Amino acid sequence: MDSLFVWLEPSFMQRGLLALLLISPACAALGGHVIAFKMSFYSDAISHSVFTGIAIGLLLGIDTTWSTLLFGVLIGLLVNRLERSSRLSRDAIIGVLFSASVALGIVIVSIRSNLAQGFHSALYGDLLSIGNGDLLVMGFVFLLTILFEIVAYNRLLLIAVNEPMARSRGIRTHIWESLLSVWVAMVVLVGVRAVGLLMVTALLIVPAATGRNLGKSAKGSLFWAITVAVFSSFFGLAASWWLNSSAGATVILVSVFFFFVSLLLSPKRLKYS
Amino acid sequence: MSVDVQIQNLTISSPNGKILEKVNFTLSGGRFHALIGPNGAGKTTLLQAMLGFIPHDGKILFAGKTNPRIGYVPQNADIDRSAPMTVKDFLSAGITSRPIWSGISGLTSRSVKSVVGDVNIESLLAHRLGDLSGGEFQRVLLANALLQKPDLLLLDEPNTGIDITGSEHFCGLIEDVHKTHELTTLIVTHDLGVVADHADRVIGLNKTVLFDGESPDILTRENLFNLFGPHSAFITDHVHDDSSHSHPHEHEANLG
Repeated sequence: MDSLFVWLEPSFMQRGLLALLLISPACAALGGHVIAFKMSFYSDAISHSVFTGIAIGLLLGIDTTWSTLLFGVLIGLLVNRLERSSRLSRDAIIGVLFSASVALGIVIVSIRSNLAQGFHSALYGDLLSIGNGDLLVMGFVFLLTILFEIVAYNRLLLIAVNEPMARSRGIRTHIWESLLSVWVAMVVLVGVRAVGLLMVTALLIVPAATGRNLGKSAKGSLFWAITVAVFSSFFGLAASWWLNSSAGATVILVSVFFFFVSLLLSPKRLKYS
Repeated sequence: MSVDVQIQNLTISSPNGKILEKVNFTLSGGRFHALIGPNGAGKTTLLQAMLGFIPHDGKILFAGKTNPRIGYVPQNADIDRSAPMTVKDFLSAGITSRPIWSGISGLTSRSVKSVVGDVNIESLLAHRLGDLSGGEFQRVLLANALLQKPDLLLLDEPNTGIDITGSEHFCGLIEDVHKTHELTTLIVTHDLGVVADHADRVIGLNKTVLFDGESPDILTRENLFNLFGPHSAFITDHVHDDSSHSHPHEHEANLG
């Protein structure tokens, strides 16, 4: 029996599992809002801004954690600002900023080729080199996300159903939507550390989508989303040990497996636009 | 519970010109009013101004109330029902600060149950929003508005997307609720049958108020022609003029 858990003996695996158990439930909880507000492309744009955030940090010689966080949140706020002040759709604005951000990162790296090292972990994540500082940040984000879900959940639910109706109830919809954007940006940026910028959107979307398939109520959906996130983290990390595969990608693959199972289990529902 | 509302010289402009110009009318406390007009007449904009969403010139006065409670039923077409939540979740989310994923308290449940009977949705509480028919969902939206214990009830084309029978049934329900809760009610609708059957008073709007009077007498051929233009020819043959009293709903006139 002990051999089944041999993968948990190295301390880097324990830290990796702890990191996943902190960040994946936070992503799963926020993922419900990301789906409701159709923000998956936004999440992609934020995660790809990490590339540029690192390049800027290295170029200026500042801590890349802070440069990444500041640049990512800046992109998030810019999306919201431009959405209100221009006639373009949100998709188009995100597309422009997404491209601009990645292009800027590539230009910086191409000019200063010595900066190219260190981007590998941003692309694929580096779960197994998670340090105590990372865990502290993830724990902080985990606690803040619980607080966010306590304060914002009902409001965001009503805004997603119908924004004018929510406003008629005194909900300051612009503030809450902006706050959600910043929050998603923050969680995505922390999630990149664990699973990489290519996979972090899946950490938000896949468990939440599975929760939507399995849960009939708000409570049920959130419960299933978090359950799938936790089980995917555990079994995914274990599988990556035995397969000697990328930890982040294996976790995502396990959660995708749960998603397809949920499709089989979920009753067919009438689909409304 | 009801409130008098006075709209005085209400003007709303956009970069492309005036959407509403010097709109004046009064909603009398406890009465059922209908707002009719062609597409682009500014009906929804007027409701948004009453809800305080958009800046305007002129005054919107709520007699005797500084902060009246307004129950709002939005257009069905603008609603996303894909979120995974039950009818009870949805109704509870609007009246409690406790996140509904942590459970629904007995107090909140009792508040929800106090209005669901009025709109006949007791059996739907455990249903998911996305599984409801259009008519059922409209009743849920009405219950949602009633949960605020409103002084004023605003409904923006609530019968859009519902068949004629369902629409008539729903508007009958609105009228019952309006009387039971003693509300001042304003419904935006294209359905003149609904207007003639249920409204006490009708306001014809096309950027400004073209007529305002008791229903159904105000629904004359001349007034409808002025409001809807040549497109009203179809119904002006059916609605009464000043000297007759044929009933518009008999012909299910609908300008939607």
